[in-house]
Amino acid sequence: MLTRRDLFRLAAAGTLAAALPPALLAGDPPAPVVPPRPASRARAVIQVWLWGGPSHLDTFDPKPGAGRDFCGPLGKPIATSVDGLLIGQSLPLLAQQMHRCAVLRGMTHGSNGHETAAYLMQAARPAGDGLSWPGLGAVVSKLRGYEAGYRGLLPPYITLTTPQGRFSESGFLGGRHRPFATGGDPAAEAFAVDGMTVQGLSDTRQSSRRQLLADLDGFAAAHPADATVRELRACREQAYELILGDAGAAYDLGREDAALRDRYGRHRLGQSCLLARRLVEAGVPYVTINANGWDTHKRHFEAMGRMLPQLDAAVATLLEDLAQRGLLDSTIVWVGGEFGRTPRILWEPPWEGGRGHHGKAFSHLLAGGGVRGGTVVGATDERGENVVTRPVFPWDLFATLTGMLGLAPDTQLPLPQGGSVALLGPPPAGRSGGVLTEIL
Amino acid sequence: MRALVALAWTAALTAADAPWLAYAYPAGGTQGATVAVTVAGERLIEATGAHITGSGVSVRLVTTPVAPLNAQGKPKKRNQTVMDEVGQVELIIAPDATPGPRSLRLLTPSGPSNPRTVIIGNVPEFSEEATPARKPLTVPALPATLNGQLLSGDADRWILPGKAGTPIAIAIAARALIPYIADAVPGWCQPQLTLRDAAGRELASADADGFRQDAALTWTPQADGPLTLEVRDVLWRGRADFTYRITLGDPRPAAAASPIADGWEQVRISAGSAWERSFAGTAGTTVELGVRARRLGSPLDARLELLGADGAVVASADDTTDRADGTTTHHADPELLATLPADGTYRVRLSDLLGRGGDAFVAQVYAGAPRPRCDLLAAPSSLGLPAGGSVPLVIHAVRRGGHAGAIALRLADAGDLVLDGGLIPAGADRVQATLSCPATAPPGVLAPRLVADEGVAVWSDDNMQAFLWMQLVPADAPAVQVLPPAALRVQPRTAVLALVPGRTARIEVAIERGPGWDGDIRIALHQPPPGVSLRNGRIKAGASEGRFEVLLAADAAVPTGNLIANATVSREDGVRPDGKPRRLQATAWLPAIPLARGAP
Repeated sequence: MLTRRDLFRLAAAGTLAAALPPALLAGDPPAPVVPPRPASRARAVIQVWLWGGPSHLDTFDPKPGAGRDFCGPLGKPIATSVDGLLIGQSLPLLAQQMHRCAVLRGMTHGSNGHETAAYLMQAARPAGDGLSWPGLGAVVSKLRGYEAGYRGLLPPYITLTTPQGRFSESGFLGGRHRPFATGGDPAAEAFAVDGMTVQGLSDTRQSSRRQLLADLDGFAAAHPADATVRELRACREQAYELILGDAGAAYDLGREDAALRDRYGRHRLGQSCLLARRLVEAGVPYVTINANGWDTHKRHFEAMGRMLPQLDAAVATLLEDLAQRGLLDSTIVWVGGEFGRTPRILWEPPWEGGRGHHGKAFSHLLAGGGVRGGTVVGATDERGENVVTRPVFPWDLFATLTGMLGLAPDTQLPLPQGGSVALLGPPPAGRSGGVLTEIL
Repeated sequence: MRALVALAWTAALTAADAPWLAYAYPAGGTQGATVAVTVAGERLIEATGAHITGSGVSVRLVTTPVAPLNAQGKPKKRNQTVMDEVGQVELIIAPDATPGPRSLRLLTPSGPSNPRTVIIGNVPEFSEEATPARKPLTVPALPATLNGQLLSGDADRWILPGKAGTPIAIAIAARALIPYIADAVPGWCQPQLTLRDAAGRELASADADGFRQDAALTWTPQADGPLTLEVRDVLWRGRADFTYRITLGDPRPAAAASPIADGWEQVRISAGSAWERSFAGTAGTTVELGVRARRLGSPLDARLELLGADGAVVASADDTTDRADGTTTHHADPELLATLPADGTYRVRLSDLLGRGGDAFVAQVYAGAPRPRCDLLAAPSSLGLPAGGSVPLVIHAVRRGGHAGAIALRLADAGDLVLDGGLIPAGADRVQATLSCPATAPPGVLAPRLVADEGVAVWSDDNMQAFLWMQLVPADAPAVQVLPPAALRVQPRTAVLALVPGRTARIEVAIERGPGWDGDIRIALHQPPPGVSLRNGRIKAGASEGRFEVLLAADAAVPTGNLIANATVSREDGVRPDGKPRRLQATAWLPAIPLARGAP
């Protein structure tokens, strides 16, 4: 009998060949047989979603030889902790972490629409097949959340700090697997999670109110053994534990060393990355950081001057911090957006040195959770316009991540109208370069 | 030799340096009038004049555009618009000026701005002040032309005189003024017209007119009395470049049908049916099939099929992109070339993709021997050319009917201008070339023609539509502004650059520098062909001659066309307010160097 691991391995090796069209079999190199791997190590994902699509040339796939019309002022990439690997000059801290990272330079899907591309990247399905597929976070919420035995008080799928807005993260899995959005700003002096804290209400006063409620609850006092009373009391205790106890303490960034907070960066992205680490540490299996502002059609380099250093400090410190705490091995860090940005700079008005959308070729970054650091998967041409080696399609990335999380591709996801579908179908014809065995 | 002037500016190096005219408002005037026109854009603060095409209209720069200032008198922090610099020109329209569109440009030390359309009319005109809260303006009599500007959330209202039984034709020109806006969706101002009676009841409304986004409606009042015409964007968008002109008057006779070119025939498609034509064909013969429908304003979404004797489809075409038609946004007219596989009877079938039909579904169809021909377009239409220097342009070839040969272009009506690299290689759809002029060329604005055996190139501008699509929009005439000599001039001594894969090729150059421009010169390639890269692109300080090299990658095909390069030198010029040295930069384009295959 095939074990779940066997089935995943076979699927990754492409031995479901009967499902594959001849074109894929004939024209593409055969997917390598996946050697037996250690049991999946990843227990959590921190997804840094660069909302709007970051420029691959200015981050992880620089093209210094392409000239000013492609590099602009960022034409001097820097060496990293991996021999021969250069990344964007604005990422010096991340450069020292690249031995922990796999750079996926062959990302491609060809879509330049935010909504379609975001859906493609997060759900790994093309839009319009009759289903609204869930993103990976919702899948983890379903398969690693409450229904799978998760007992944490913190929701299993948390978004820092607002939901995507461009697609439904939970898809057909429904509202139960929508992410809990904290709202607020982790970099603010007093970070308040929506629905959990009341402005101006101290913990002492909150505790006093709790005691007053208990004192006034004569019914519960009279019927302590009643099942309903016991259940209500348990729910109330859990809620207070979330607000006042250790579970809720995960949100309290004031408990962190100030120097560490400085290293992450005293801005929304930096403090969100720190908060994500704390949440993962508290057992949350999936945290998405929705980082706005990467849709830089206009004056792109002015924006990059602000945002790249923030990204650099935040993600580099996150990787170092996770590693030092022994969490990196069990936490996948996934950085990227829905597409890249046009390599050729749009100098003319109204763009004034802007970059448009570019779904043909872009980069993502993976680290932790069993990722083999120091690897580069795929390559683009001399201008970063097209993938020339080892394309990485959304299905490939999704299959790799679910595999790393130990989620079998044949796991059935229930449909609201009845029936179920497999978590991962066969690779779509002509739109798969195979599971990322290079980084496992 | 005229002294090379040390300029802080040079001819626009890239589109980022080119002056940009975002809008002109009001966008026109009537015969005999002198009209104050607000002009706004970017990199216009050094404008030295204005230029307008056609006769009977002159223009002068009244107020050089300036950036807006805040309350402290300092330049306002730039926002995301490119319309911060605002100035004024004056249109002086002769009483006998021919009505119709003209192109307005501002002239600057780095060259002319892009063109903006202004329209000369022949009826009284009224213009609103662009403040959203203004009261409706009353139009005393018809016919008339109204000028307006839609700002954010704006809805302009005009009071028109209504006379019982007298029809009023109302037509707005918004997209006709600015066909494409790069950073908006839809990528143009899409105006909606609504006509109301005195009680506010809606009488008529019009949005896009078929596939024309500029709306039109005709209304015949039942009684005398004022009518209110409301104008707004369909999505309630508004921005300073949402300018419009509305003509009010008698309904005009329906436009004459488009002339039918030789060999074409006009057909009408009925709903649910197709037009067919049979012919006898011989194996190996190539036939050309073409449809002109959408390009003539027909709603037909044509599907063209060539069927064999057995009814099987030999070839078919749906939408064929026509780069020469830059203002049509849905290229629905098909074209195809097909080689007949066998002797026999063939059928050409034309139908509407959605099965529609009717009186409006007309098309012109060609089915016959291929007629190789080519439309030529040259961009941009505004060029700043330093005396003694060069400036790049792109010449596009839209080939039809199997046209495949090389296209040799030459200048006409061009004074002393020289065209470098004016050969579009066989099979290519474009070539980068340069215009050059001698150092003795006098300042002024020229309107050269680019001609070839295939026809005359239409001067155009590449416009981005809604963040994505590029459209070549024809201008009515070019403006090549001859500028004073630049501080740097670099002339290649290489007439033709022979390339061999895997090898470098050397270009020797002669250099002339203005006083003080003695620094290192940096060469850069402009949009080089695939596989071509620069090597050793630095020429030492003070040199009056030098060289640079290009490498063709070992696995690259030898490209055709031309090599376009520029040279830059900088020097210090005093100190900035922050104490850092101020650096000026001078750039020169080299004349295009034709590429050829070298001996291995």
